[in-house]
Order: sequence, then C-alpha cells, then structure tokens
Amino acid sequence: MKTLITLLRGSLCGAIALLAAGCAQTSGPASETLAPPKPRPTGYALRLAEEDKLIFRGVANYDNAGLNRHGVLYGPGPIGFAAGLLVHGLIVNSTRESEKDKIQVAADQILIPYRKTLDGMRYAELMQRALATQPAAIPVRVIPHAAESTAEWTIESTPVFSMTQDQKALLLDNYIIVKQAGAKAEEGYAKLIRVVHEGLPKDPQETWLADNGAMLAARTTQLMVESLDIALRDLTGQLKNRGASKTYRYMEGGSEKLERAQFVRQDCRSVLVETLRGALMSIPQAPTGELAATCASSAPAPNAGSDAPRPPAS
Amino acid sequence: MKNFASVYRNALLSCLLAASTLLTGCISAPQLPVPLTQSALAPNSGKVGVAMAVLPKVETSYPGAGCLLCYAAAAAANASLSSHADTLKPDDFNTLKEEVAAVLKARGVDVVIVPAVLAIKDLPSFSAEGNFARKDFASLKQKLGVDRLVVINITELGFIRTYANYFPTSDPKAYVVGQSFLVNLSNNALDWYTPLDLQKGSDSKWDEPPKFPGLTNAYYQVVELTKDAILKPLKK
Repeated sequence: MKTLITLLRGSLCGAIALLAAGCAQTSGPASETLAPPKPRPTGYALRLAEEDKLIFRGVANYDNAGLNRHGVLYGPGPIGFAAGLLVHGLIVNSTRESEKDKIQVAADQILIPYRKTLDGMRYAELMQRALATQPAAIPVRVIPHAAESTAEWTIESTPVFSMTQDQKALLLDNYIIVKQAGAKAEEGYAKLIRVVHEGLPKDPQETWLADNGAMLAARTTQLMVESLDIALRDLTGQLKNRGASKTYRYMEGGSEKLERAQFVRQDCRSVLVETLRGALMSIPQAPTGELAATCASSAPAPNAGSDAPRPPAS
Repeated sequence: MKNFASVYRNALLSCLLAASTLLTGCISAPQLPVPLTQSALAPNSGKVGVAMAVLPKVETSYPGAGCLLCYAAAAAANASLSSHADTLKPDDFNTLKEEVAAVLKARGVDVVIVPAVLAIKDLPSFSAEGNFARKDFASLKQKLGVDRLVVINITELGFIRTYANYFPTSDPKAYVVGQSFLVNLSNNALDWYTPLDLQKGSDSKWDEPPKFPGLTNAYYQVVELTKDAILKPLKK
C-alpha cells in the first residue's frame, strides 16, 4: 500500500502542476479592494478617461459557459501523457475565453438600435452633468486626462454601462480609484461600485430613444452620480457598518437576480450591499417596516419621476 | 502523506460508489416527475406534515474521473476548492420547512412541521408498480399523526466539475441534487414528485482561491433556486 501511494504521488506531481497551470484563470483588478485612506478629503479632482466615448455592453448570461467538450488524445509513455495534459490545458483556456467572448458579442447585439445615440454620448459631458449634482456633498472638479492634478485627492473612474436583454434597465459597473497626492498606489482607495437601476415599465426602446436619447442621458447620469456618491461616502468612512450575510433577490430589468452579500444601508428605492468580491452594489429594493412608512410620507409627487432626490438613507 | 492517504481513500470509496451506482442503475429506473395532485393539498385533505431528511455535507464532486489515479489527480488539482467547500454550511436550507409550511397554510391546508430530521435510509424498502415511494413511509402515519407528508431530501450539495479521466471537461459549478415529494401515508402513493438537479456557474471567473467568491455566490444562488423549485409547484 505504501509503495502504491508513493507511486501515485510521483505520477501525480507533474500532472497536477500542469492541470493547475492549464486551468487557472487570471485575476482581474475588479476584485481588488484596498484599504481606504485615513484622512478625510475635503475636495477632489476627477481625471477624465483617455477615451471619451462611453462603454456600453449588453448584459451577458454565462450560465452555460465553461463547458469544454473536447476529447483528448493520450500520448504514449510519460512524455506523451505530460504533453497531452499541457495541450489540453491550453485548449481549455482558449476555449473558455473564446466562448465567453462569443457570449458577450451575442449579448451586445441588443445595443444595435441604440448604437447611433450611444456613440454620441461622451464621458466628459457625463461627468460634468454628474458632478453638477455634487455627489456626497463634496466638491469635485474635472481635469483633462493628461493634466497634472493640483488637488490633494484625485479620482479615476472607469464606468462600463450595461443594458439588460429585455432593454428595460441599465446598470453601471464603475471601478473607482482615489489617490492622495504623493501617496503610494497601494495606499489609495480602489473599489468596484455596481448600481442597478429600476427597469422601465414599458416600451423601453421608444422611451430610451425619445428626444435624442434624453432618458439614456438622464439614467446614465443618475447611475454615475450614485456610484460616485457611494464611493465618496465609503472613502470618508460613512459606510463602515455591515449587516449579516444573506442572499438578496432583486430585479435586473424583468429578470430576478440573486446575490450573496452583506447589508450596508437602505434608502427608499434601493439597498446597498457588499458582495463577496468586496464590491459595493446598489440594487432596487423597496424598504420595509419603519423606513417604508417614512418613505411613504416623504414620497415625491407622482410627476417628479425617478430622477427626484432620494430621502436620507438608514 | 496523511492528506494523500485521505485522497486515496476517497478515490477508492468513490470508485466503489460509482460501481454500486452503476449496478443499482441496472435494476431500478429513476422515478419520473409526478405533477401535484391538487386535491391532495386541499383544506379538507387531512393533516400534512413537512419533513426534511438529513442534509449532506457540502463537498466537491468529480464525475468522469473514473479510475483511481484519475480521481486522485482531480481531487489534488481541486484541493483548495475542496477545502473551501468544507467551510460552507447548508444552513440556508434550515428555514425551508417553515417556508413550505407557510405555502401550504396559504392553501388552507392543516400543516404540521416535523421537527426531527427524517432518516429515509432507515425506512424499509417499498416496491410497487406506478408512482409510489421507494421507501415505506406508512409507519410514519401514526408516529407523526399526519395523513400525508411533504419530504425534502437533498442528497448532494456543493461543487461539481466533470472530468474525462484525468482531464477536466468543465469549469466547477455549484450544484444541488435531491428530490422533494408528497407521499400519501395510507398507501405510499406519490401525490407529487420533483427531482432536483440544479447547477450554477460563477458569473465571471471561478478560480479565486482561497475564498472562491464567484463560486461561493453561485453556491448560495443554487440553494435559493432549489428552494424555488420546491416551493413554486406547491403554490396555488
């Protein structure tokens, strides 16, 4: 038995290393969360992205990705076996990536009717509109991408907007980095903020494209404002508390989604949670209990629309 | 060496289990789904109990890694995921009996929650043509004081990664296997039977040791989807 185990161990070492190398995936920056800086900033410069065109995608479903149906040919002897493993690892990786690319390309087809309008939407204009609302009530000014920042704190925001396949809702993944002048990169704040907006009730295409895409401009601004507000509040220590973990159910357009997360705060339209990857995610969810009654009594007039200011969060 | 011996032991057990499953599969066809007999969950249909079988440990499974060495290779290659699975608990199923009972109460059914864990494997076998339970639940009629019993039986829970001998043929996914059914304790007939076999992959990358947040999220998602699969057919 001892000999058998020794033999098994010897044969496995190379195989396992090759399998692990072949099947490992690279980690992206989106999961990275650095500790927020200690001092409370009083003003920021927001550096514009190099690419002025906004990024839009269709929401993709990867449920059926990662299924590799390749047969594998064993080479004769240990060298052939090891070569087989190596080739298989390479095939698995490239197949997985191309499969996900294909799914994303298919999901992006939903944007075809909107392409002309979306191509005209600019990052600088979006930021100017968003910052006019003073998120988190802290002054933020915009600086060009190549300009030197004279501010003590500089924000870099990388927004990616996605439209659900039923075209009813937009969501934003905004990777936000805040650096203090002179500080090392690892001392900055870096977090993915995801904001999911309530879906449109009907005729989404007509509603989004009416008046030269006015609703698209309004919703993208609203999502950006909310993401900056969340990041700046988090940075300044206003979102420290975490509740128990649970699986949240929420609507992404007309589809129900599930996310395991910790409670952070709730306001009249949404709940803010921290996901298992450390991202902060705002999801549409009506409050219950006392807050529901407060929200009902302070509800804006019906014609105020969803862009009306939110009552204070709990 | 201790870990390796453990992997070897698991590999051996897995092969024996696979062989026994294959042999058993030759003599008993799987129970097909049975749609809910609505009259069985009516206000005047008698008392209905809600019971749950013992929940399995959260584990990692490698179907297709058929030989001893293949299984050992698969287990070793996925060791960190397997260790992470050991830290997960099936606790989100703990409230399921109460949720089922609430759905039945909403239909006007007289419901009793069975507090004890149901040891299905200890029940005697039952054999009959048609839609009948494979275990004899009749003895529970008097013991529990109910006419029918809703049984939730989760048999496998955790992560699954398919293999072709040494080679992974899929990314790991969170999965749940089991069945939920309504058995008439007078004649052991199935008034409802739903096989459960749900899988969910990570929404982006999966290989994120040591905490595997993408797959962990998928695990909790598949638990919720399983609860939905049990509760939805019972709703009126």
